Amino acid sequence: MIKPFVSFILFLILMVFLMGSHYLLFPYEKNSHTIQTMAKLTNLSPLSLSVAYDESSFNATYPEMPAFGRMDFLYER
Amino acid sequence: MNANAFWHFLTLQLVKERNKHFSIILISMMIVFLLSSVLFISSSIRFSLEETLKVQPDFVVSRTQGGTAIPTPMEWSDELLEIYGVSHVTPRVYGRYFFEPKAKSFLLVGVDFMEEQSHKNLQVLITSTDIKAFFEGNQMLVGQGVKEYLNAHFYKDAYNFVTPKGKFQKVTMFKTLPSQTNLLANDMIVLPIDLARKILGYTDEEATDILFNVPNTDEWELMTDKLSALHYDLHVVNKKEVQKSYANLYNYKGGVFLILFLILLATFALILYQRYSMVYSSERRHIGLLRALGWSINAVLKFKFTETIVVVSVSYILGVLLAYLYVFVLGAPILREIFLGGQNLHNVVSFVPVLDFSVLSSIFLIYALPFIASVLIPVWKVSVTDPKEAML
Repeated sequence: MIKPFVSFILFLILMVFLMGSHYLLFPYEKNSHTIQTMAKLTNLSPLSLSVAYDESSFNATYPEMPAFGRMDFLYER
Repeated sequence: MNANAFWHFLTLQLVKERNKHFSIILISMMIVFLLSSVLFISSSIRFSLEETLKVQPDFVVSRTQGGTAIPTPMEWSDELLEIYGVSHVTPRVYGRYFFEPKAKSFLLVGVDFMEEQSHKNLQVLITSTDIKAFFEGNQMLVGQGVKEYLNAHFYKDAYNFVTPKGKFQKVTMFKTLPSQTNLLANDMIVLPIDLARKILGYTDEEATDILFNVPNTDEWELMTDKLSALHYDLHVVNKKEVQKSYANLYNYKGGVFLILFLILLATFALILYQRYSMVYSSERRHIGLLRALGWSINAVLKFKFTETIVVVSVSYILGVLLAYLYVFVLGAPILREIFLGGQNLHNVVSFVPVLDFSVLSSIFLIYALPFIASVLIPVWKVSVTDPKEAML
C-alpha cells in the first residue's frame, strides 16, 4: 500500500475512534435521569413539538364546527 | 500477482485517479449522510421517548363531549381508587396558553408540590440553594424556549397571564428548566397546581385528566372494559397505545426518507452502470489494457471488486461519521425541524447518541450491493470481450 493511502486510512480510523469515544463517554445515565425526573414531575411524556396549533383555522369536513387540534393524539386524548 | 503487489497497484491506481473517485465518493457520502442523519434523529427521539414512557403512569382517563376533551371531574379519582388493582391515582392539570401577539403558545402544567415525590423531583431538577423561595408567592419554572421568547418580548422576570375571567395574574419566573429537558419541556411552564387551574379556567373540582397505575399488565385489557363501563363519556388510553402511536409516527417519518433514499440510490446505480458500460469510456479502455497485458478475467474482476469495495467503504464511513457529527454534536440544524417542527418556539435540542447497529448494517447492505453490482456487471461484460475491441 502506498503512503498517501495509508495516511488516509489512518485518518479514517482516528475519526471512527473519536466517534466511538464520544458515543461511549456520553453521560447517558445523567441525561436519562434528568429527562425521567422531568417526566415524573409533570406526568407528561409528549415531545415539545414546535407546531402552530391554530394552523388549521377551519374544519374542512364540517365548516360550521370548530377545527380539531391536529396534534391531540400526541397529548394522549 | 502476490498480495503486496496487488494492493500496491490498487492503492496507486486509487490515488492516481483520485479525482474520478472523489466525485463518486462525494455523491455516495451525501446519500449515506442524509439517510443516516434521518435515522439517527428518529432513533434518538424514540430512545428518549421510551425513557420517559418508562416512568409514565399506565392509564389516562379523561372526559369527552362530542369527540373533544372537556374537564374531568375530580370525583372520578375516588371511583377509580375503589377498583381493585388500581394504584397511584393522580389528577393532571395542563393546557396550552396562547401568547396573543404572534399566536405562539406555551404548555402550562400544574404540579402538586405538596406531594413528597413532586417535591423531591423538583429538588433534583432545580439546583437552587433556596428552594423554599419557590413556594413564596406565585412562581413558575420555564423551559428554555419560553425563557428566550419572553425575554425577547421584554418579560425579563415575570409574566402577566390573562385568566378566562379576564383578570391578570402576575407570575414570577423562578428558574429555567435544564437544557437536557428541551426535548420535552422547551415550551413548558411548570406552576403550582392551584395557580395552573386559575389560569386555565378549571375549578377545584376539575382536572384535565386523571392518571393511574395498574401494576398487573395482564389486567390492562379487562381494566379498559371496566373503566368504559363506569361512564359513557369516559375516554381511556393506556401506555401501550401511546407507545404504538409514537413508534408509528417516527417510523412513518423515517420510512418516507427511506423511500427517497431508495429512489436516489437506484438513480445513482444507473449512472454508475452507464458510466462503466459506455463504449468510449476510459474504464473500458483501462480494462482492455489490463487484459492485453495478460490479466485474466478473474484477476480483472477481483481488482475492480476490491477497488469498488474500498470506494464504498470509504464513502459509507465518511457519510456515517458526518451524520454522527451533524446530529449528535451539532444538534441537526434544519433537519430537526422535520421531526420537531419550527413554527412555535425555537427549540435547541441535544440528541442522545443512539447507534442502532442493525440499521447501520442494513444501510450498508442496501447501499453497497447495488453499487457493487452496477460496477461489476459492466466490468465483467467488457472483460469477456476481446481486448482490442475494448480498447477502441
